[in-house]
Amino acid sequence: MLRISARFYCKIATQSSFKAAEYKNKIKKDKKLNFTQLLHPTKVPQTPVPAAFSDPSENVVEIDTKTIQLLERLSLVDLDSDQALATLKSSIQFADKIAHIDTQNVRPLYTVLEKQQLQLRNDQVTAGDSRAELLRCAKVTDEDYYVSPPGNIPLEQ
Amino acid sequence: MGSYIVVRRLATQPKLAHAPKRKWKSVVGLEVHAQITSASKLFSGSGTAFGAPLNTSVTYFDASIPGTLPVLNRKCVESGIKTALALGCRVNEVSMFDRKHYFYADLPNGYQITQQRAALANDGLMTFPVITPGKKVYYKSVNLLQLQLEQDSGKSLHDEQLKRSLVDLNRAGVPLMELVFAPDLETGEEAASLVKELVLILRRLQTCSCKMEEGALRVDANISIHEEGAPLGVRTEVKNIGSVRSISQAISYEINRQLELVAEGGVVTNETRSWDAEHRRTVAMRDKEVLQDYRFMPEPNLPPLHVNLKPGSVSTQELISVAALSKEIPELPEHTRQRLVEHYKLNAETAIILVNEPVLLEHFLSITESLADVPTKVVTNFLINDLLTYCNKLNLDIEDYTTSDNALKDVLKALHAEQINLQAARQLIQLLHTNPTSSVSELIGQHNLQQISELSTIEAYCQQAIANQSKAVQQYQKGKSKALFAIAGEVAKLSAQKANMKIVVECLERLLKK
Repeated sequence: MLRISARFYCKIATQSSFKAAEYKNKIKKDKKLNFTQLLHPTKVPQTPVPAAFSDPSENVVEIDTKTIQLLERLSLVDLDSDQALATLKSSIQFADKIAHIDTQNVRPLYTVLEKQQLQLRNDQVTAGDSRAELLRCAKVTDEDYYVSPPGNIPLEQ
Repeated sequence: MGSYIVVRRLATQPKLAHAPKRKWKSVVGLEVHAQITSASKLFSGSGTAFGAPLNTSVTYFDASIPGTLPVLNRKCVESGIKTALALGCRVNEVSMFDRKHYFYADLPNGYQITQQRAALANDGLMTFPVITPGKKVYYKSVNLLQLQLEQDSGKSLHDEQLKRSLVDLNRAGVPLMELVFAPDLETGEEAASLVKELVLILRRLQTCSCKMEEGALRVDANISIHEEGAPLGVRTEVKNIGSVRSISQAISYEINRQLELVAEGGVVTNETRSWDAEHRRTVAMRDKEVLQDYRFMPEPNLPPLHVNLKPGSVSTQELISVAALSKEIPELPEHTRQRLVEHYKLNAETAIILVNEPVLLEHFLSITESLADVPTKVVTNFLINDLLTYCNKLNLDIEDYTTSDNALKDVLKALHAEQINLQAARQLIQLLHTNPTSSVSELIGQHNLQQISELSTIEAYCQQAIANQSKAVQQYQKGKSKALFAIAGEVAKLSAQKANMKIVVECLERLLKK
């Protein structure tokens, strides 16, 4: 059934005794990503989890021209060259693994973090006024407003 | 064009007259969005103050900058649970967040984080008095299907001339609770009464300011009509209802619009309409003409929200205890009404009016506490028939009638001591409103409002009145006792409404018997 072990999750960020300075030194030594930038504890695993799947590599993927045309239309990616086609085939083959996992009697998950409790934040204003910075990202602004094409308005106006 | 309409009306009317009389029923369901009172937003640390300068309460997360993540505000969960408990809901041990996608300029993410599959709470029930002018008050119960937490969107201003929208993201991410009620209502008055009661409850809980003018409480109504016994009709949704009064008007308008449409052989289409308060009508809106696919999906950035349902549990940093929150729920309006009926022996309707106007209730409780010898009936009559009526006449919100409890107490004290009469008390309500700094005794002196109770003065007025109203005197002496009112009225007029009417009536009876 559901097998989630505590070690899958980032222990450092969820621990209350976490000391930033200590951790920084550790990162320098281990040359790992700097997680101290997270403002709040996370429930997301911070290290990849190795998993063993059966490799269906012998199932060679064949795609007919009609499907390729459809995929090109949908993705706007040109699949004309042999290399592009090979990449597509290997991608499908890679994803195909998932279809061979036995999921009998396993309740579907909405999220892999389902057994985790959501972290809560105290009701405090900690940020907000970055207007100049954020408005700079917009193409059209007017007097501190973002400007967009007209939205839904009553028909008779 | 005009003549065409006339012809068509004439052509359809006879048909209607011959058609068997069919009974139509209207069905109304409400969705209420209530802004949860909080310092910061639902998932970010920016402020929620109303009227903050444009785009200044916006974090990177609210502006949907890549790499930002939501962190849930604890207070919003607590407020949601409290509200759910007050409305008799089942709070769910595990609830989840979902993304609801739609494309709109004031929604920078392209989706709203809401709760669809597993909401915070379900299956509540609200029972409330329905007040229809000129009809008897009755109680109505409506099922509350779901209470969910969700983000608000930004605010768009539509610039008609330049054909563009101006977007302010201050409201984007502000915490809301959406309350979805079952379509158990029938009329606009019932809907308005439900919202009125909800406002009272949320204000007591302090989970929502309910300031509709600030958009802190928004009501959408789903309205359909169907023949008795037939399945429900196609519904329309009316949005943009900005006040409690508009709720009843908008829904009544929409029901009548649908009835007229069907009577003329038309068909109601599923559409979103907007309430035009100025012209008092609903107007079709351009968007959402086709059923939208919101492409709901689980919010991958938020694990499920757990709460502790164990009785007697306490809240911890990680886990909120529902049992602990249930202890924080104050007395609810319906309980107050019952207490008023039991403790002060008020009738049910008086209790409803007092509770529905929190200011009146405060005045009542404070006045009865310090003026124990004034009968409660005198106090409630004064507050409801005189003070509230005065405010309604001026179209003034009772909350804006600023006067101290003490001033009202002084008026009632003078009234009870027969120092002034009811006419003078009414005049004082107006005088206190226009001269808020003057004391009641000053005003009585300045405006010469003392009641005349001296027997000799009253007898003089009575003699005069008897002389003036000889016809009424004759009628009275022939046995028409009601004619006495005409003579008493004359005394009131002669004394500039200042005579003590109790003594006047006694005096007149005595004089006329002779």
